[in-house]
Amino acid sequence: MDHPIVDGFISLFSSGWAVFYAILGTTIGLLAGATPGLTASAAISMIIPLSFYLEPLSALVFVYTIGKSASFGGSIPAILFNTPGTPQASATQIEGYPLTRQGKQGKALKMAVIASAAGDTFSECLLIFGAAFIAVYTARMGPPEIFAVYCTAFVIIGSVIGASIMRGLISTVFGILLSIIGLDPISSLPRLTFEINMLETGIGLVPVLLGVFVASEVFVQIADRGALGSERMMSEKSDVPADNYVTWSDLKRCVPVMAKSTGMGTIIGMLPGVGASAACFVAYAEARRTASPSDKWGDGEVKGVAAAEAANNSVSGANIIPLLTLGIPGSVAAALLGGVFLIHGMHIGPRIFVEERDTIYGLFASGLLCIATYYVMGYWGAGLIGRAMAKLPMRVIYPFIFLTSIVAVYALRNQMFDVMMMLVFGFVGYFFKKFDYSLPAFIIAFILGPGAERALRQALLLHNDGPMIFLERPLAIFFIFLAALVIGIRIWQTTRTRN
Amino acid sequence: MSARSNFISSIVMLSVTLVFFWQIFAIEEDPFGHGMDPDTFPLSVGIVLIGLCGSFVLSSFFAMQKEKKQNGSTIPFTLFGRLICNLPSEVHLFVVWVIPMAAIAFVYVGLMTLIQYLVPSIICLSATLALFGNRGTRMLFVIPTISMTLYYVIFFGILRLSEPRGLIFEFDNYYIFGTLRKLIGI
Repeated sequence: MDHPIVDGFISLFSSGWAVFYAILGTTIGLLAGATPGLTASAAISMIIPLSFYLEPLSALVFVYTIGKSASFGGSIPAILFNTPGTPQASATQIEGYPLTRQGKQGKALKMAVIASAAGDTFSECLLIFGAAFIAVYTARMGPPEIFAVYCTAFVIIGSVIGASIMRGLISTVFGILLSIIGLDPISSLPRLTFEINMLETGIGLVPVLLGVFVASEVFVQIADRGALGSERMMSEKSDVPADNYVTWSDLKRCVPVMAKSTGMGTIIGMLPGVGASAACFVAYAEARRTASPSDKWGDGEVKGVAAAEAANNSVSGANIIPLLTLGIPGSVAAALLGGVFLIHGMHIGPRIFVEERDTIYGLFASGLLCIATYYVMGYWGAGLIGRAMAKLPMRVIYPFIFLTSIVAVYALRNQMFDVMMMLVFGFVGYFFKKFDYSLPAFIIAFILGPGAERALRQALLLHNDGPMIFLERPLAIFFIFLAALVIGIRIWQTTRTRN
Repeated sequence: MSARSNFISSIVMLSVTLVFFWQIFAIEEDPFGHGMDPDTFPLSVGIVLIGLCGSFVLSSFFAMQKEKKQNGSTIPFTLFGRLICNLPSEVHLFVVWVIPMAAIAFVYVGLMTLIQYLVPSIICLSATLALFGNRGTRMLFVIPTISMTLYYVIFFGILRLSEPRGLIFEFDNYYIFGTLRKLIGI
């Protein structure tokens, strides 16, 4: 077999540290996902400062596996305590928790890990075997097409993520505005720096991430102190052996649902910004719509757990495809992974498959290793993790997280300014959470902003037709039309729901 | 979200945007004039954002007019037992819990610069734990001391993370007494 993934496995396993970080990342992701209030984005944000000191493959593997396994980890508290550990596990709790109340938590957890691993493996295989083909086509796109793709991504991210189109779009454009701060890339003139010298290099990614995902979460938790002390109760296990594992008949009933949900999750995952939270609800709703009358939907139907978990995990591989082929991340975790690529001097885009072949396929191989690891941990250890989470004193954990993030941000450059930036963005995150603005849209736009500006300026430099160049390229017109269509559909949907 | 909340948040966003928009006019022109001017992209983004925030302010304002007039709940803000003022509940949470948390962060970094990592970490972890509602010697003294010492040994001792020398250890009395001597003319 002569496929680059073979070289990827060789690259991964020839570095013992990369394997170590893959397993460590999987474990951290699983625990972070299983901890309500601690998202994968927060865990990754805290790890990013450490990734500066790692070799590129280990750093990428570490971040990638955290994001992947956290998606499954979120289902553990959703099933056991009716509290999703991550937003994408929200659909899992609808059928998972009633199963727990019947004493069938073992069955629900095992089905969740089987469906997660199945969906994730399909998505990862698509990434391994399909991304390079897509990259061949995207490599032919010029700056006008790339700028049109950026615009489409901004519109989709802004209008689809979150409850309100207006707040989503404001979050997105605000993210782009803040990404401009610093020196102009061509003339090196300062822009929006308020004559503060430290701002001339722009706002660092790490202070922003730690502020928005970690500090803001700590602020929300301290302001909402009532929820912190609540310890969760575990339900008693059923005495019937078949209730504690997945039987053949369960599996046979769930396979068609898992296949359909995996397909849906993969397609949704490739759209920028839409993410796993949307995928799990779409798949759950579709599985319920096509259910047979004998199914017990709403009262603990194992097919519901399979549908939601297969869909939300099949997003994690697919959303790396737009990141690597177009430079546009499909989710926050993918955007953070993009940040690690930049930190290590790797330019994301179709040429990465040629220039960093071994690293990229090593990363894909680590994805498969991660799935195998969390399958083993989840199948035999999810109950144990759940019991540990039930006893976790969050009012002790948050102070540790807060101080660790301060040290992490300060250790980067030994600058008080970075801590200040982290706190400023902590307030921004707190404001966004309290008033329902979209943090994922903000952060993705903040990361993509400079790329969009670069594409626009290149397009205008290379062609003398001014903005008309976008109307002369069919692909650019297609993407602009797509953006208009998406926002039109979203407005129509919102108006219809309101009426 | 209530229309009132939307109105307040949209006003905040519009104000922040206007501050940034004002800065766009301070961007200098590129003397060599390569392609697009440095302020064109920020200006376009700023205009779009003002448009979005402006329309959100208007729509939420009209929605607020339609909504039944509600007085948001207020909570008395006291300092050392004395009533300072009544604050809306969201602002009260922010002032009472979030601001002290941020203050601890600044104190922590300030102390770290002054006396290095270990002691400030123990003090500030203890303060943060107290703010989160933990009480007792075990929670506020034993756990911070043991855990931070362990942190210190692992990261700074075994993993050799670099620790800048504390300012207090480089203290030179010339800065204080030299100035004093100059002042009194010696």
